[in-house]
Amino acid sequence: MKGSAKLITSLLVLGGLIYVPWVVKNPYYLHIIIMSGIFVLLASSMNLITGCTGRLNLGHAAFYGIGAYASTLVVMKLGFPVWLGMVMGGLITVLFGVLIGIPCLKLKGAYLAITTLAFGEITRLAMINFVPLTNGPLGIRGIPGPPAIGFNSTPLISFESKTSYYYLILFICVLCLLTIRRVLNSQIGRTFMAIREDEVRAETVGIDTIQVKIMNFALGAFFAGIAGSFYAHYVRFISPDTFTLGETFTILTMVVIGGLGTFYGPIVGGVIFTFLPELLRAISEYRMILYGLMMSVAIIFMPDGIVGLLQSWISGRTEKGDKST
Amino acid sequence: METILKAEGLTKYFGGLAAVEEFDLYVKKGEILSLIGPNGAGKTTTFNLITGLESPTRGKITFKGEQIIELRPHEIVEKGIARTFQITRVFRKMTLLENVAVAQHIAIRPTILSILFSPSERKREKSGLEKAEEMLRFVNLFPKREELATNLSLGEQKRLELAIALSMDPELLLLDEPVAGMNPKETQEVIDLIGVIRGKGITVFLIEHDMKMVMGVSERIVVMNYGKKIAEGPPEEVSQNPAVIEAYLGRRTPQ
Repeated sequence: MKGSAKLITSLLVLGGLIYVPWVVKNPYYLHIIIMSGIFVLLASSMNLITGCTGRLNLGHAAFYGIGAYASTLVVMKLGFPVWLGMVMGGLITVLFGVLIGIPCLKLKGAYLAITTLAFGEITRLAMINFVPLTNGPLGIRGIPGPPAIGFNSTPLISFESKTSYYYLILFICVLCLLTIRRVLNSQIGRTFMAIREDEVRAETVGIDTIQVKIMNFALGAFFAGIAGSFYAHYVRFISPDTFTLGETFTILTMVVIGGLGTFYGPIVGGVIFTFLPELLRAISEYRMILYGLMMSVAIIFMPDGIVGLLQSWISGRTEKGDKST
Repeated sequence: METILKAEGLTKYFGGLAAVEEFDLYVKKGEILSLIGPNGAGKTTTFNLITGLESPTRGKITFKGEQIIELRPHEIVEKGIARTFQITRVFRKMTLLENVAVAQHIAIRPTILSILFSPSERKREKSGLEKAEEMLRFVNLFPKREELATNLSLGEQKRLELAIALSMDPELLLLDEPVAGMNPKETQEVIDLIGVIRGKGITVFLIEHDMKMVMGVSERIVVMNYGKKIAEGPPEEVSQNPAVIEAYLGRRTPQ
């Protein structure tokens, strides 16, 4: 009963999302919606590392950027088809995720934050300075979009309109989020939580924490890389300016205010914090003040994020212990 | 009876301090052995050395004839040694069920590919959860299975620790002060549980300060002081040993 109710709700939500382009005709609005899809992916992938396993990763925008550059370069320099390039974008990012994951194995808290922050900066500087490959600060323009999907010469989806990209990101998001949810609800998800709670204790219940932590980094990197490769082929222009520390903090805000360590938190946070800056555009320079104020209020009154707050209302699962542990 | 665990010349220095020094120990299969001694005698350090949380400065430890010193903690668990902690270390922000289920890792052995594509994975996970429920029933915490571990009382947390350790089907169970801080009724419950555990053929090695419990359940007692073994033997014998009385009560001053 409960399961079927969930299924019906999911199908209704999905139906509503499929219907969106019929309602939203304005390409600017549709663009924001597509961007929120990208940020949902980024926030969800960061949540895997920072929320579920409790490792503050301040280099997340680097994964996003590596995915974008990797996909672009294998398509433009090596002549890979765009679809394969996008998958390669994810896989190459996994490689970097593992590379940064290994030296970070023994690090926690502030030390891990600083190391990953340095990784993010190194990546950005490499993008700026490795001109033969990345074209430096000018970025790469003219990135091809995905080829049309269809039979022979009659294309069904041609990737010229925003609508087609909307459906593509919707498809990618659904696929990735289903995967993430499956991981979080599995034994692996429980091992992530156990490592967040007490790493040494996790070892003593038979968990190979080194293996799990590398897997966790690889997984987070993969989805961020996929988000990056979609971004590259959607916007068709990438430059180091997009993949900055500021971007990491935007993603972090989404995760924290949405609900750290929850499945729905980063989705809610990703959508809200893509729309909010656009909605507040009207009050121009004052919007950052309002933005900051809202964030402070959110952190003080909702330490477990929006979704955490809703969950504790629904289940009445209140914690008597202090929040800091 | 065969020896299941053996430590020889076990030594651990923390800086210049010898927490454990030239310590020899054997545990026989199926027995209940207690390790006692004043605070700071090196008991918990000994447990940490056996379970791989600390590596010894010198000495060796064999489990079922196999050297286990170089192994990482999760590998030692896999060999069949599980433990509980004196200061409880349950996963506080996880439910009781999750706490025990996560300890089924060795039985399930999940990989990213298996959880996404293997149809038998869900079956393995389900049997892991069933095992967790069974263990929670065993320690009488089943009604609280959906609560967060942080909401449990100390006595309940200790029982949860026991459920976690037992769920891994160990051959040797190390209990670090399983009844510390418990009232007499709770203590009796744990003593009864230990009896049942032993009945299942699991070897129990415990650290305890509660003398009533130690004398009641142990078949053999090892006494430590300042990192060294000062006495060993059956409870009646150890309780009469002058060195033990001295370690606990101090030396009688000559009149």
